[in-house]
Amino acid sequence: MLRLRGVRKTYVEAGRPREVLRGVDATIHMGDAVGILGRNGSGKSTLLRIMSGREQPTAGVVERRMTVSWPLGYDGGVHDALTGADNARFLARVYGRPPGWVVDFVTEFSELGHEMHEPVRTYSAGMKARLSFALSLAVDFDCYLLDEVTSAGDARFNAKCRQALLARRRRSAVILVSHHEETVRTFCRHAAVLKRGRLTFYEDMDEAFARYAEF
Amino acid sequence: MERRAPRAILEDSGFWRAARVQAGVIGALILREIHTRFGRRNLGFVWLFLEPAILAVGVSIIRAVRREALPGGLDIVAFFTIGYTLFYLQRAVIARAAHTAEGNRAILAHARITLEDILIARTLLETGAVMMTALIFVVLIGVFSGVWPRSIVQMGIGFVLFGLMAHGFALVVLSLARFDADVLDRIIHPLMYFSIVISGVFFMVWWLPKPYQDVVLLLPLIHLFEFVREGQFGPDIPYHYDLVYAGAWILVLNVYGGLALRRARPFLLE
Repeated sequence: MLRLRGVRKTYVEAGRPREVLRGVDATIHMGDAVGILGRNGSGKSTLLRIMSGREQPTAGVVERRMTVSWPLGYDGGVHDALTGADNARFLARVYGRPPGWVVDFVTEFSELGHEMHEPVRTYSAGMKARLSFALSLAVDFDCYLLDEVTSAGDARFNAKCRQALLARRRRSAVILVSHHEETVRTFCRHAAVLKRGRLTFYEDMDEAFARYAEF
Repeated sequence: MERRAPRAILEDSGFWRAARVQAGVIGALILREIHTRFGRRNLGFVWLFLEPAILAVGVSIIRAVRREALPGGLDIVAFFTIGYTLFYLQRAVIARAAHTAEGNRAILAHARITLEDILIARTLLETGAVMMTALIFVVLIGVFSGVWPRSIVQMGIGFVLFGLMAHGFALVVLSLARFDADVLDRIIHPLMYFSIVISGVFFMVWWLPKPYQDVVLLLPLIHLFEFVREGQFGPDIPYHYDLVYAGAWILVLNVYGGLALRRARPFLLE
């Protein structure tokens, strides 16, 4: 279970405070698949970083009773100067997994082939996303945070990601942020809208989309 | 996809578990740094060895041409190679601290990896690498000139204390980077060059007139240069150091730096 209570986040920019999150409450259980809809700059990425534990909220409580991935997106999580395989060994050690096993798993799942032995800075955005997603599956988290990762790129690999997440639905939760309706519809069963620093959950996905379209 | 590896240690609860996670992260960071700095196509280890060697050879030539010896008849190569390895450690740990957050933005996406871990890994690796380099020089000098250090243990302790002090400075520098890492870098780099002159690379305290001695002995790193050199050259020449003074600096820098970095963290990670 991942629970946020009254989470607020304020950044100070050029000496002036800017409130990004103004009291977010959320409870995510094992097996949930929640899509968070929000416009650009609505604080989606900030919310994911707080959920992952990378950033601390200015106020409020984050209760983390399951292991939460880093926000999986086009950037972040992998080291540009290292090869794909070295990244796999690095993260295996960070998360306490057998390095050899992780390298094998990632090579197979990401379908990067010999590119695994090239530096990540030579990868395309899609290849980087494949590496990072395969790495997160190898670590085996309880909760996956997806930051627009599946909204573009290779359709066949996206389907493979969806399959992998579906296969572990009973023991994993998925939180996906996006401003694309289709992405949320294919991955999620519930949706929430992040607007003016507050998060509103909707049982019915259509209602969420209707509210999202309103502004 | 059906092969399942044993469950990872993911929960950070409990002291020993947290310590194990921390050790795993620092170990991973050390190996990463070995790859990026010393590995594969990089010649990091070669430079670690060549830089002090070039300086020692250069100074030896100048001194030989001018027919000058070092005060106390110290071996020039022995004096400058070991002195320079200490400076190398100071530069590697302190000068690179300011850009730790930018340089590692991608891997800092992992909540487990902290700025403190990155600095600890760097200090451990650089101290270890520099100690290895110094040991190689000690053996080479011993074999070729027949002069062996009086106490290799004292030299080793000196290097470790030096690493701890440099770590304290690195914590302070990184916490200051919250204001502006680039401006800080521009200040640190000239200071580093200046510190070649005022640190113990080129002189010993007893070579200076008394009033200057009192001034340079305010600098904490000088004490450790002198301490290492006592281990290297033995009791025939005078040394000036106060381990209590150096120890107090190490303690204050690390405690203050640690607290300052805690406060600076949200600004550095933004």
